[in-house]
Amino acid sequence: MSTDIKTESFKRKQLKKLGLKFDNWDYMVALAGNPNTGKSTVFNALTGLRQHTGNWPGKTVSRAEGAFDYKNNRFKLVDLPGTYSLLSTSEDEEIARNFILFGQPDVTVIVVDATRLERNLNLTLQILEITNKVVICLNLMDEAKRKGIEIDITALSEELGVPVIDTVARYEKGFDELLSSIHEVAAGNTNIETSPDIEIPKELKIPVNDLVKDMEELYPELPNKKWLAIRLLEGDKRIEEALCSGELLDLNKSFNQPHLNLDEELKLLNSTEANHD
Amino acid sequence: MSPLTNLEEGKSSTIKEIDNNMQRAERRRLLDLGIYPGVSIRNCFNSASGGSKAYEVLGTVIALRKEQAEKIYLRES
Amino acid sequence: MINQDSSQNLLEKANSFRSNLPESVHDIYVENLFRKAAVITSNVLSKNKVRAIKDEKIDRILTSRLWGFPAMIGLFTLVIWLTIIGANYPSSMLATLLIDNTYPLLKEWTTIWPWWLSGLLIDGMYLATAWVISVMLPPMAIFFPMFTLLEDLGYLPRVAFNLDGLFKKAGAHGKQSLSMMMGFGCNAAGIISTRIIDSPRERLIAIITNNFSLCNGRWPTIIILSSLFVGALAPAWFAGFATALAVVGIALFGVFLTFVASWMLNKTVLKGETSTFSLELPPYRSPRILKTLYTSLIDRTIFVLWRAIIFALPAGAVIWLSSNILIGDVSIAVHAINYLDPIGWFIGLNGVILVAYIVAIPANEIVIPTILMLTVLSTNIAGVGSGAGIMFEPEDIGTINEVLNAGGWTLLTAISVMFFSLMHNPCSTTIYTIYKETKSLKWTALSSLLPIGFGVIFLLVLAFIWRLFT
Repeated sequence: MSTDIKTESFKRKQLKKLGLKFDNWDYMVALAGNPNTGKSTVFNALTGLRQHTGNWPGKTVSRAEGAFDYKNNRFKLVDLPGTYSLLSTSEDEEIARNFILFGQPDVTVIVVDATRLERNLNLTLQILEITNKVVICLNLMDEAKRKGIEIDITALSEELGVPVIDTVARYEKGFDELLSSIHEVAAGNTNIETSPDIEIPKELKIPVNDLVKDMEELYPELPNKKWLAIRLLEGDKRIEEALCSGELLDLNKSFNQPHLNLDEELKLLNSTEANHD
Repeated sequence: MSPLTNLEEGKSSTIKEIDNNMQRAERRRLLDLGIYPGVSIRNCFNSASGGSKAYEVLGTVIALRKEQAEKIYLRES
Repeated sequence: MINQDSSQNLLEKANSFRSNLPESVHDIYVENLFRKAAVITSNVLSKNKVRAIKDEKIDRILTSRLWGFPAMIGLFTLVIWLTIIGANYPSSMLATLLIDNTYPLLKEWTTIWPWWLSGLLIDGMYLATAWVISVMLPPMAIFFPMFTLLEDLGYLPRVAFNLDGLFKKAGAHGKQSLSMMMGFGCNAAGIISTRIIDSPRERLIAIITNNFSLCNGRWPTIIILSSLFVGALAPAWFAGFATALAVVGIALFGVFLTFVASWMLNKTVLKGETSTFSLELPPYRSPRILKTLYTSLIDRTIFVLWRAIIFALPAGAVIWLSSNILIGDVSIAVHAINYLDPIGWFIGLNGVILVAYIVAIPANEIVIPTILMLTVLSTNIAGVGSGAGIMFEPEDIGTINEVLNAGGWTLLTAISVMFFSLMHNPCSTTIYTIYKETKSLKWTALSSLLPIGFGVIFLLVLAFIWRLFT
């Protein structure tokens, strides 16, 4: 433990940790990130709960939920399983992706390990393709400093088009800024810029453009058309289902409505798995 | 082409390609871990019971079994 | 409004495009995304010093061929030894408080109650619970925090890494070692943690074999019998350590059985390709010790203790009732003991032990107190214990010895009980968890019967050979 960091005061006037009291919430916040980034530490610090997770990937297969109050707004916080990506190669990734898409969080906070920026940005960029209501919590800044890593926060924020807050979650450093940023994005007060542009392989270009054009005519309100087009081209069953049932379109009409919780997501997942057998 | 299993302990190299015969799901799992052409990889240490080795990719130490490492090819240095 | 047709058209269009696309194109897209991450990183990140490689130096030792296994066994023995040594004193303090002092007081206050009511509530339920608390709480309060510290340090994934070669040979998934480690705390938790294994075949292997991880409900049985029969054979200064070694030996035998059973399943009912294994070895992080202690005490110890108490209450009632309800001249318990005695003999056990294991299906924690009580009951030894169906706290280890000797125990009996503890049906919570996770009666039945099958065969052979030479 280094001595130059002091634990910041718990007496943050505007934050009230509500533990498991998440019945009536104004905003829903999803907590995503790689394994071992201090995600549970952030979760516990904000909600006052004591979620203990071992540090191996996949240990948090079930989710944790909690709540906090900030400036008299009630936030429900959903801790998603820690994953390296959203390629749906495992149940955790499926759960995390489906929650970010169908759970309609008002903000997705991505906890990023500053000592392993590139690896963590792999996940970040995938989430940014689904939603741009994102706040980056650039964590483990003390460890990064010790390893001689310097990150230009402003430049990173510009590259990603979303707010980036540097934190040391263990000592709740940077949490005031993090909370206010979460609040701003949830309330829609932040100007979110366009997400980074990912190069589409040439074989995909024509099909993607074609499908996006169709979607623009049929469902102009969909925010992530390019991503959806790619999912459809890959034959993503869950997305096809959501498109046919109209679930995808409903997403953008009903803000702040609890829609699908993770349990329902899990059930759905299990039932689709059962259908494959 | 030189497979990852040839990489000496403590040495780094760059991944050139992943064997085309590898199953798609398995390939995806490697991709998920950040193992893809162009990325730098380092052989860190062996397991006590043999069979698997620990490699560092993008700042994370990941254990892979020999069967996987054989299908990952490195750029000639 | 949802336009069904237009969605359908869109889907069909996507499908027809897909048939002309090479599968790899999606991976290329992801690779492009990853490359973008690399570009952004190089734009915003600068590095001054060389990366610290302290972690790797530790790992080179902890996962080396030479030191990997000795370090693992050594650490494990140290944890068990500290648990045995550390739990002694608080255990006897709790026993003095709950049994020597509180129990007579309760009996005094309830003298006006009908005998059967105070018998059922105080001699049955209260004493069973008091015994469980005094025996279970101290070791758990030491074992769990130490285990959690190892977990937080990042050592457990290294154990998984070290054992992977063996799991591979058994045709199992490398992550099975993680669920196995969880099983050392609680099998139900271990079984839930098999969710990290994606392949259903390998996940089933992990579920079925999890019961070979000695859970905390069974540690006390092994620890007490080891101190009595193994520790007693060693000179006094070495007794604690010899006890720890015997306990670790049983636990490691369980690990060995995990491999054997996995291999057998892989060759018979669960044939298939071994899937690949990839596991992150996270950086070592110094745990926040006080916070870890607090969290593991509150979340783990209290949780497990609460469960033990909930099951000890009705079990205490069952023991008391079965020893006090008579059929003919003798109680139900004695009938059952006499009936099971010949069967028990073949596997080095006796009727008392088998009845105790049946009573203890809900919670393995109460095996030892039940055995002692039933032995007293069936042998009618005078001067020990307090009467029919009353669980008592033996004042010292000598009393337990006296009781067991009267019950006809030999070294073989003790060793057989220790192995039977490792190899018998899972507790009811675990069985229920297996059912919830597999949703299959078939796999639940196999998971419950396989360990006891192993146990019976092993003990038959052991008793046969033992009797041949003694």
